[in-house]
Amino acid sequence: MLDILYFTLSTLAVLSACYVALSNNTVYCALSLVVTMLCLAGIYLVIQAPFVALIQVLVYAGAIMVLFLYVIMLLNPRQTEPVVASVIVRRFWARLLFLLLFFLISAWLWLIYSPAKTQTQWESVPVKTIATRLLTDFLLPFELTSVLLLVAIVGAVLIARRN
Amino acid sequence: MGEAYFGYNIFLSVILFALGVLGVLWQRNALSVFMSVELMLNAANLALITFAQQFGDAAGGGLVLLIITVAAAEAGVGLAIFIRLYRQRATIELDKATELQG
Amino acid sequence: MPPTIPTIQWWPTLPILLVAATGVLILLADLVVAQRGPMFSLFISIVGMGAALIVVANGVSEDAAAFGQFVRYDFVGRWGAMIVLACGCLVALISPRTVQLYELPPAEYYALLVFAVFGMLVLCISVELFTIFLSVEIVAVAIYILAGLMRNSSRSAEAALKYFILGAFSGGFLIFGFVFLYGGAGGSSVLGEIGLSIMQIDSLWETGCLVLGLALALAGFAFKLTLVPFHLYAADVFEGAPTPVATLLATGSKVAGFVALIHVLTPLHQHLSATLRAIAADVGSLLWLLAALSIVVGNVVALLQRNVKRMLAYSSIAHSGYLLMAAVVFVEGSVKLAQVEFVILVYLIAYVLMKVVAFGVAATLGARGEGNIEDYAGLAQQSPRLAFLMAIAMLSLTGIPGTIGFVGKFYIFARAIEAGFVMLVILAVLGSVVSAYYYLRVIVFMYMRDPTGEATIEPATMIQRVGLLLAAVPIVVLGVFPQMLVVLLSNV
Repeated sequence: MLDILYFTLSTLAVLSACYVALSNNTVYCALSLVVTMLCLAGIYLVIQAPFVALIQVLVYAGAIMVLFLYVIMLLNPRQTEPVVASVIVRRFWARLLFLLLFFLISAWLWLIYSPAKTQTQWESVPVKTIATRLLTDFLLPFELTSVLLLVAIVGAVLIARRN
Repeated sequence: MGEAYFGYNIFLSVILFALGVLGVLWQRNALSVFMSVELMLNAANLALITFAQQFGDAAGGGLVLLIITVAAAEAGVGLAIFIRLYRQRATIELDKATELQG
Repeated sequence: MPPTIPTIQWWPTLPILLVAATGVLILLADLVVAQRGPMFSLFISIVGMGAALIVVANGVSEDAAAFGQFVRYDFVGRWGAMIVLACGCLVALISPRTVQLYELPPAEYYALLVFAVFGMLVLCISVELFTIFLSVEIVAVAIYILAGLMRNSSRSAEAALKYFILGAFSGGFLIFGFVFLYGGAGGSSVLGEIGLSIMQIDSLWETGCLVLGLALALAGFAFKLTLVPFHLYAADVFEGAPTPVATLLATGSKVAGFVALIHVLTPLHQHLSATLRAIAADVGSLLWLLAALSIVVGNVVALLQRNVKRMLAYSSIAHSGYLLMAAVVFVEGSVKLAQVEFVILVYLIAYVLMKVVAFGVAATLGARGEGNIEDYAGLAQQSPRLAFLMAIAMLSLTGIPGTIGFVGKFYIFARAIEAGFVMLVILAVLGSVVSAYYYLRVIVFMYMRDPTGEATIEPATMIQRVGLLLAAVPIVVLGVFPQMLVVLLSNV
């Protein structure tokens, strides 16, 4: 049962990711990305990481993608230009790099995969432990994100404001 | 239960990452390119959680949170840059951005 | 029982706090203080970064650690931090003309500059994967914004766009690689622990994950250090961004990126098993290829550039190649880190000084300085002092003996030959010879052509003069007395 769920979710994630990468319509691209993120959230639930699933839905799919959709609606991008030669060349390299990356990395991982090393007992980690680790061991990265967000806020307003 | 999917998860993250790279090079619209980058970051998140669950490391959830925060910050600034470019050029197609010759 | 809050090591943490506080202070002061001159924010930024520099130089002892081993002031890291802070001060000093000319908002400009330097500082001293990633992102986001700050210039917006796409894409590679490093090392993300776990590895899976992670992370670093073939858009960004921002990108960002690369490569250096030795050789070959390509492509394409900033961009690409030679020696040759560290730091100091002077003169000249090389015609007649400073920078970049550029290249080439990389050194020397053409071409235009542009040049302000001199004087002094460098690096 869990298997069916997992494989449906992962297949759907891959298909919508294909759409994200290849679609000509920006809105379809954004909506496919939302579908991919929701499928990933489902997968996080299957592998027993409910906190991450929640964060994925709330923050990633729920806030960041909504921001994307606002901007898409604002800018209303339209694909009106015909496909130029430079684009065809670039897409050739894109396909090549994709196949190279995908097959090389997959082959590498398949060669080195050892089930003995990778199976242990997985349990859902309580949020309290995550928070403890984040605020004690990983305190510096946590504080760095606050600086990052400050810079991003100041910067976004600075760049986009009308004068 | 979830541990049976370790290999499949890693494979899935590799596919998603490769598709993200494909999208960055394939798409002509700056917004779509950035969405492909988000796909790459999602792939990294999946791999991270999968590894962290294997070691029972609670830091995995926290680190994913940090990566999502980075994605949010980049999205904020990036979208602002797109808006600014659109106002000046009325387009956000990367092929049209040729004032500085490559 | 409640979790224990880690104890704070004050001295190692102080520089980080100081720089962050400076940035915030600039923003707040802009809101609160009513009467302020145009140099107000500049002043705060210099004081803050200078104070941090003094703390790192005097208050932080060798190998001081903070935040539970996430931050460590090892030799390269500590000096990298000092160089980066000095870069920040110098770039701030050469900024006023650009800020005034292009009507950049001064408080936000200097604040973002300080935050970029903050990111570079943490990047130099962090020895943990995700801290490295976050500091890379802080630097990147600050520079995306700084590059796009010129309001009326659509080229500036385009530069910001291109750098953003490039930066986001490379950030994806970097974090994906780091995740595999984390996974292969058994759940530890501190580089020291990763080194320890490497020594105890017995399975193919973990080794393989580490290799994959390293390869992907290298791709991410290669984008950041503008190595060929990941150097696309770099010249565009340099051309479109405000000149001081291009300077920061060429100097501080490269220094911090390179120090972080050394930190990430170090665990590989602690290998013991035969498998890993072979892998280290492969990584070394990859680095060799990147270095060779960067030297060749950087120098050749720089020849073809007519715009000064683009030429300097491709020159930076070539210099990244020379720097990477030291990394090749480190990874492939079985030298200890200490032997290579000194060489790397000398080169970084030399590189920073030369680039600051070159870009600084361009910034001081305003729109004329940022145009084509022909615009520099006759500069010697119109402003002999600026021309002289530019000439010093150009000579040093070529590597003429008597300048610090020569000292830096000499050390790296010598170290590389000792380690047996003769082919690479030959390429590098050939590259330097080629580079002489496009560097000396600037000098020819300045001194041997008649001025074609406007007759009057606004003289440099006192602040800009201080900045340019602070960078230019060591180029000559340390070039003639390189022993001073040895003394400096051993004792501070």
